[in-house]
Amino acid sequence: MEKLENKSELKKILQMSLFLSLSIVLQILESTIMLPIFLPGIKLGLSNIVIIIVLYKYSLLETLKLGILKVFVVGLIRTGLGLNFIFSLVGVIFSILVSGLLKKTNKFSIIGISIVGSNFHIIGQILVASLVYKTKLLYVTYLPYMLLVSIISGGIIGYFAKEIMERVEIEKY
Amino acid sequence: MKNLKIYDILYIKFIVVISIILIIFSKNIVSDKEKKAIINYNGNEIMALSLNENKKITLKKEKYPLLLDDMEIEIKDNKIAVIKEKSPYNYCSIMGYIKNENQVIICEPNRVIITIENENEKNEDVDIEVR
Repeated sequence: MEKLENKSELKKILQMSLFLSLSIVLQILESTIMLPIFLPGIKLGLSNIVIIIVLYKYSLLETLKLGILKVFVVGLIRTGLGLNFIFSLVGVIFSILVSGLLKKTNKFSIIGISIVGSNFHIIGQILVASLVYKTKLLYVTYLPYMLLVSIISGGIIGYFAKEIMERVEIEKY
Repeated sequence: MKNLKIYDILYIKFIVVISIILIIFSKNIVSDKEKKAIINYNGNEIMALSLNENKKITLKKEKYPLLLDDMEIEIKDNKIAVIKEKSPYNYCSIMGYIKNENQVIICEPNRVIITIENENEKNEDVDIEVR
């Protein structure tokens, strides 16, 4: 317990685990909702509201840990640790890394960062899918449509995150 | 729009332009290009031919001993046909040219089957999620 003598350390761990469970719940909730869009696999990405808030409140490293844990837990309880899990994992790592690095430049707003994140989530997944299925076709047949849609979904998520951060006081420990 | 900074707008414009370029590119390139004729001999795939270039192929009896005689296959205008073969009823050359995935040429005594595959459609069930 010596390590946790520092109370803020404990509070931070508690808060992060709350964030983690919130993002997992949001993601599982979302997977029950089907969006009536012609492209398969389009989702809003509600759990990324949490990811973005953590990215703004804490550091890139914390967010990366949270994202990887989220994908891992959701993989364990929902989709299994198969191909889908690898797609999600690479997507999450890509999106958090790129959006975290761009956030450091301070030239983008929350909404912009969210859009970058959702774009690179797709790019990461399509990179893996192209490697797995050994085809370059996905870059032209799937990627452009997904990029356009993810601008909209990323924008909506970014707007949510911004509004939440303005209205809810989230303490950083 | 007041929530967006100038770099956000620039980034969005950039991605939109890239996407549109890719879409135009895909319309020109992908449509017929990925159709392939798969030639099966005795249960094994021996050739996958693009339907885009016109050409003639001869399967030699020396190489494929189960053939009754040399077999000629022609690809013309994105269609494929067996134009010369030896069999009791010549069903497979009577079949003529095929071009769609739901068509097939079967030359049973020669143990040759020709099917058409579309690479695009094969990839449609790839499961990708947006988070």
